[in-house]
Amino acid sequence: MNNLSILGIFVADLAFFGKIPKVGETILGKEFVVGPGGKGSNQSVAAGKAGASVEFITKVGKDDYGKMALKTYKETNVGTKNVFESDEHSTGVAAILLDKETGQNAISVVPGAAGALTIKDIDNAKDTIINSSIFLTQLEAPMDVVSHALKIAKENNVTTILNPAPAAKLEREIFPLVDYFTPNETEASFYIDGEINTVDDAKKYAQSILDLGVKNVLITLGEKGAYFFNQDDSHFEPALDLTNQVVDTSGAGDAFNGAFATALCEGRPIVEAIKFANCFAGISTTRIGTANSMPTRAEIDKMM
Amino acid sequence: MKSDSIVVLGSLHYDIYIQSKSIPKIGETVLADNWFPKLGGKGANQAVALRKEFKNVKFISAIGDDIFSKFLLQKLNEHKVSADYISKIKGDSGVSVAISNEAGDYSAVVVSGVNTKIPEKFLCDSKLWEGVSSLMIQNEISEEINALAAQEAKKRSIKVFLNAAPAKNIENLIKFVDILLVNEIEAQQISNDYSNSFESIAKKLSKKISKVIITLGSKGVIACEKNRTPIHIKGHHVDVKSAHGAGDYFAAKFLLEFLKNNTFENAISVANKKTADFISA
Repeated sequence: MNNLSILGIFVADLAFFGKIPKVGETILGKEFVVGPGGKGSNQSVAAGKAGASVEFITKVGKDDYGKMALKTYKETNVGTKNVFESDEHSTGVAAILLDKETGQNAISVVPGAAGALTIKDIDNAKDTIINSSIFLTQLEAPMDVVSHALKIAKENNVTTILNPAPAAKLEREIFPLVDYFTPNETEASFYIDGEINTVDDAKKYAQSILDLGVKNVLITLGEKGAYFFNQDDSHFEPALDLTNQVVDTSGAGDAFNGAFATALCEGRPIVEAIKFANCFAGISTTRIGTANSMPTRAEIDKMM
Repeated sequence: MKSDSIVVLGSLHYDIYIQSKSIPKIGETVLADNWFPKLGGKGANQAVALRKEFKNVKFISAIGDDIFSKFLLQKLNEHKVSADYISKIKGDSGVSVAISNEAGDYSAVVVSGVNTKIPEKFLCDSKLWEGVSSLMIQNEISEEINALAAQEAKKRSIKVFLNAAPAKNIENLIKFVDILLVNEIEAQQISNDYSNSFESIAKKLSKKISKVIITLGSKGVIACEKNRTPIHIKGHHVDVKSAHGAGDYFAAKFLLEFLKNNTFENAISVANKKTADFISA
């Protein structure tokens, strides 16, 4: 029983390249690219490509973008028996306005069908969750749905990973349901009274984060690496050295989480799991895209 | 009406229309409520608005060979706009995203795709122009193809109506244009006069183009005919629900009314009133 289940959202990422318009303005853009997105979906694709036996729990509309999601999962070995279809809602989209010259962006996310995930949907996916060894989720799906799924996982002795992205206020009762809490530095800072940028900061605030009630914490620190700690242990694992090779860091956190969950599923010890995730996420930053930038298992095995 | 059809040459977009509480600023991510795909592009919007009241509209545009093309053809068909002059071209269909806020304002980015590659083949065919009274063009496609169409129309004494939106240099086009429709920003850029004196901008533009119309949003419309005094037609005060597509709607209503009665000022008044109803509906 080495299965992984992931709950989250799928949105079609619609990237418009050009200047960013002001209110009332229409800009003639330069380029338009459509691709699969949403943190849960990206993490599922990462896990599928990293070699996990993964099932994704989400909801899409009966439209072209919903078809795009299913096609993506087919190509990346992501199980779709809990990809529900909504009759009333369109598949979610994220309009990403990007100015390549300044690197600035403005984003409008419409969760669509995934925003209409219900507790009943989670009950329908219960078998998948309780038959997993690892359950992973984020904070893009409706909060009551996320919390219900974590409860089911925990009650059935499934190891839980919560990637608290985007950072959002959580009810106190959520934290004890979390075995691995995996914020990046910005998200980690949201949950404490301070700011985390470096490994030293992470060490300084480790106890405050553990005091929230989570069991293990893994803070990703971008190109620096990742810092793991719990009440007994701590370990810092530096990232791959990719000086001058990084082209696009979007989706790197999703790559890390999907790969980390995969490695835990395989029963790897924690330090090895972090190394595996670092390697996987590192390679993804040397390519453009989010879901489309994820490497394959063969590439990772060659590097490790 | 003397002749019986109108040629519209222009853009055709798959519009992603997002309803949001607010429009994201630079660096911001906003969670929005709802989105839906719409038929868009100034050319398509104007062709559809004309077709509602007028049978013979020939719309010349292009679609790509992607997932959006099917939707575009289906929508044109729903609006009874013929696809006879729509070319399917290897590449991406035109797309746009418009993010609107609760006040009805919006920001948009347009990526033209194959709209920049609309072929010339129909324009050089005399059959296209048989029985045509007017040519309607906008600035969302290349100026060269617009100029070619305008030249062909002019040869046949067909009226050339240019909605110069979005604003850009139209130096090569201007000599063929009979009627120019612009908003405030476009009027300033085209006249290179950034004063807010739209009467004098209209007067200045009417030296080159015989009829000039400048829409001023809630403040109404300023218009000027060659060698005449500019007129100001006041706006109607309405509760704006969405201003998206208002310019295209005005353009179509004006042209229809103008072709029907051939009185410039009256046609503007009618279009002005109908557009006020359109944005508050």
